[in-house]
Parts: sequence; C-alpha cells; structure tokens
Amino acid sequence: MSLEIYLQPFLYGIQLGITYILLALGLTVIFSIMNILNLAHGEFYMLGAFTVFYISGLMKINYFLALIICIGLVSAIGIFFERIFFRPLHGEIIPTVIVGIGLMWLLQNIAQLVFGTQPRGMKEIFQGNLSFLHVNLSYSRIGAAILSIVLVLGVYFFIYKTKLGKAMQATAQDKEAALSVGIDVGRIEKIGFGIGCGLAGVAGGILAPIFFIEPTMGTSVLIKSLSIIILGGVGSIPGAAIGGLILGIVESYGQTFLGYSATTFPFLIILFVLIFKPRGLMGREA
Amino acid sequence: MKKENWSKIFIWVGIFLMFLLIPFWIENQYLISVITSMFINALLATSCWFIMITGQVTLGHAGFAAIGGYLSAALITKYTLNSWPSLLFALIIVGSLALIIGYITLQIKGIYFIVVTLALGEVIRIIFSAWRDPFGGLTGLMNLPPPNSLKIPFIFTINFLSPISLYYLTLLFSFLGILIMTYLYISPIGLIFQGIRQADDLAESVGIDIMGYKVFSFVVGSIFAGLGGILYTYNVKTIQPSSFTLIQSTNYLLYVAVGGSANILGPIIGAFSLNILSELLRPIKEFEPIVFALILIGTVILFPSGLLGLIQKIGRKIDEIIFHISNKTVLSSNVS
Repeated sequence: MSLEIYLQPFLYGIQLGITYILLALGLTVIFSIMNILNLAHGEFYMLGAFTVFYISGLMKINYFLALIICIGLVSAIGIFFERIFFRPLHGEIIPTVIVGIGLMWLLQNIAQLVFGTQPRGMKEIFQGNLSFLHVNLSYSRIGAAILSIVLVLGVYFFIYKTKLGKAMQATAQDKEAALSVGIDVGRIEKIGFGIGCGLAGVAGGILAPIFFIEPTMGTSVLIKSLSIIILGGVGSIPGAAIGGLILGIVESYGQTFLGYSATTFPFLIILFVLIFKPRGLMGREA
Repeated sequence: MKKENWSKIFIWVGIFLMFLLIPFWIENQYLISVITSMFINALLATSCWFIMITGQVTLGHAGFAAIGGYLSAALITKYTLNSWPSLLFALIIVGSLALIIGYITLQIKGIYFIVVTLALGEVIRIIFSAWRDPFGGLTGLMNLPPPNSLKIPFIFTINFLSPISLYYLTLLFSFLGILIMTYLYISPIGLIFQGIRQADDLAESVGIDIMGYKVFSFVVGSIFAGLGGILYTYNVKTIQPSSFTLIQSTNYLLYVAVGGSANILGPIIGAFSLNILSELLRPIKEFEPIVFALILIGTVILFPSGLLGLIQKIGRKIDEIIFHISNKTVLSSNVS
C-alpha cells in the first residue's frame, strides 16, 4: 500500500526526466558548438508545442506527421533568427546573452498576441493506462518517453557517428583548428543552431498532449534545461542524460511531498553545482 | 580642478535644478509619479551598470531590490519601526548579504555568472513568495504607510504624504546614489574596475586584488539596488514578489544596453528614454514588449555603444562639419 506512494513519483520522474533530456540536448548542442547561451530556448519549445497543437489537435492531421512538420518549422525559425540576430555578433558573450533575452521577449509576446494568453489543452494521442502494482502510467506518458529515447539516440548517433556530426564536435572543440582543416564553420553553426532549436520544438510537440500549452511556458523550460546541462556538464550528451533523469526524479518527488517549494529545485541545482562543482557531473576538463 | 570638470559639475547641477523645478510647472499628479518611477529605474539601471563595469553581467538585480524593499516594508509595518532607521538597517543587511553572495558567486566567470545570478534572483523571489510572516507570501505587503516625517525641532517638519514630497525624496536619494557611484567611477577605483574588465589576468599580474574589487562593485551595486527597492515601496505603497521577476532584472540590462555602457550617463539615458517611450506606447500597451525587444536587439546589433555612442557620434560629426566649414572659410579668405 505504502509502496505506491514512492513508486508512482519515481515512474513519473523517469518519464519526465527522459523528455527533459531532449529539452536540454538542444541547449547544450548550441552552447557547445557556438558558445551561445540561447536564452530563447524555452520559446522554441513553446513554438513546437503550439505547432503540434494546431496541426494535430485542431486540424486533425496525423500526430507523427505533425511532429515532423514541427521539427522542420522550428528549425527553420531558429536558423532564420541565427542568421539575422546571432551571426552579426560573432559569439561575443554579453551581446549574445542580451540578444537572447530580446528574442525571448519577442517570441513570447508575439505568441501571446497570436495564440492568446489562456492555457490550451490537447487531446491525448495514446489513450489508456498501464497499471501494475497499484501504480498508473498513461500510454501518453509512455509514448512520449519512447519518442524521446528514439530522438536522443538519433542525435547521439548523428553527432558521434556521422561526418557532419564529427565536424560539429571539431567546431565545438576548437573553432580555428576546425577552420584550418577545411570545415565550413559558418555552415556547421547554422546547422547546429537549427538542430538545437528543432530539438526544443520537438520536445514541445512531444509534451503537448501531456501538459497545458501557453505562451509563457518557455521560461520554466529554459530554467530546467539550464539546470540539467549545468548539472550534467555543459557540452556533454551523457551528462545531459544523467542530469535530465536526476532533475525529473527529484522534481517528481518534490512535487509529491513538498508542493510549491519544489519549483526552486532547478535554481538550487544551478547554484550549488556552479559553486561547488562547476564542471558538472560529466563535464570536460577545461 | 580642471576647467573641463567644472563644466561637467555645472551641467550636473543644472540637471538637478531642472528636476527640482519640475513640480512647479507640471501639475498633473500622474506625470509626477511617472517621473518619480523614472528616477528609481535610473538608480537601478546605474547600479546594475556599476556591477557590469568589472565585466560581470548580473541577471539577479531585482532580487536585491526585493530584499531592500521587503526588509524596509516589514520593519515598518510588522515591527513598527521608524522608516529612517529601517532604511539604514535594510541597506546594511542588503550590503552584508551581497558581500557573502558576492564572495561565493564571483569565483564564477562570464556566462556562468549570468546563469548563477539568474538562479539567485529567482530563488530570492520564490523565498519571498513562500515566506508568510513577516513578508506576506504571494500577496506581499499592502497599504504601506508613507515614510515618517522628518522633524528638526523649532525649525521645520517635512512630511511625505503628498506625491510631490515623495518626488523630492526619490529625486534626492537617487541623485545621491548616482553621485556616489559617479564619484567611485571617476576615482582611481573606477580605473581599476575598467582594467579588470579589459584584462583581468593582466590586472591580477600587477598585484591588483581582482576578487576584492569585483566584490566591492557587486556590494555597492546591490546596496543601491536595495535603495531602489525601498524607494519603490515608498512610492507604490505595496510590495509583491511578482514585481521582482527575471523580467525586471532583464529590464535593467535593457536600460544599460540601450543607453550605452561606456560611462555613467548611458544607463540614465537608457532608463529615461525607454520609460518615456513606454509612456508614449501606453495606447498600444500589448505591443510594448515587442517594440522593446526589437529596440534591444536592434541596438545591440547595430549600435553596440548604445544611445550614448550615437549621441557622441553625432556630436563628432557636427564638430567635423564645423571644422570643415571653418576650414573652407579660412581657405576662401586666403584665396581672396
């Protein structure tokens, strides 16, 4: 009887954590390749969620097709903003952060004008519940977790096994050296930014049937992604995986047993990790 | 003192006098309160800039404003203290907290410092929204009394019941704060700050205690942020956690970025021009954030030195034109 109180949050946490990995992955790809902290990351997530909401929820087009459209659309938006906003700054830290803030405001407020401010919900795609040991897990959540795992593995193989992915790693490690061996760094940065934004968008699309969708939801997503990549170590994909799972489980237990104060967890993770273990759990040595 | 400095002082005194006279020709109470909040924003923007001159960008500035405002408000309402000692007490606590936090967080550099201060600001806000007694939790503290009247026996008494008296109080405090920061900036300490921003390794190698100076600028900036928070509570008479969100902290950064960070006039110009713009945009309120976002991005990309840089550039152009014209007249007079 008492076991399920502890098991339920654990399963939710695992499921949540797996989707968090996807979220943080986009941020860490952009950060390690371009050295840009994209503060508008959460807004790309929001755009992805709304895309899927409109295409699949309202226009009744197949959910998986909607997800593919969502990746393409959000990546294209990301590449557009990279070209006009971030490219002219040449990766300088303070200007890129300030422009990121501007982009965050811009997208959030345009979304409020276009989509309205009230939270929307979307019908579940996979109906039904899996229950065992008095613990429930809806098929939507299981489906979201499986989709996330597939995408995370896809990104992992892309970055570590393909030529383009290796070029990205090289750019992340040393831009000038990459240029000198003939890698088109500008193109790699463009693709990297597109992938990063596309990942945020698809995460939004995957979570759209589970959570409410509203224009301001990006901020909390940004904070969560930041805490995950800092916990795991910036630029490390295994780090993002561990960080995502830890945050998912901790948050899930926190919400069950502590309630409102659980919202501070991501912030506390950021503070303590940066103060006591700045490289994170799996971070590269500088 | 150099002649140049005297003319600068003259300009400052002139500006101060102008603001001193404003209530005599603006009758509208609403406009007075708008200008008052501009002073507070100018103070907060300047204090944010003061931390930035050592090369650190903070996104947790609203947190320190919240600490100042909340402490002063709670001391006045819950512990029935006089507002002047509680102002002093609140500033001392903000300063000591900033000292501790600064020593811990300033070990972290660049982008990570931005992230840490972002987290810090939000943690402070969440703490205040969860802390019921004496800070009122999510609803905050309402119906705050005006600051106590100042009495000098047999000479005069000033009370702060009317908006105009609050205008003068805010003007005095924010001007004083900006003056102190200006003084520090033009003193040798300010030069060291700039040295640290440009090349901290080099500064350290010539024996400058960079950590000490960074913490010093952080503490001074945070104290004046706290003062800004206190002035806010005096004017608005309420304080809620929702007034100190991340958006607020990014607003101060916006003022600095748009105004320009080359010297202390930048954040002040930024705060004033954007607040005036915000008033002008009042009929189309829902587009305001979009306009601001575009201005912010446009300034950073097109005019990295902000409005200040633009003004200086225009000034230089005018100088050039005058130079050209005078040269031409000299040449033509030579020919004839």
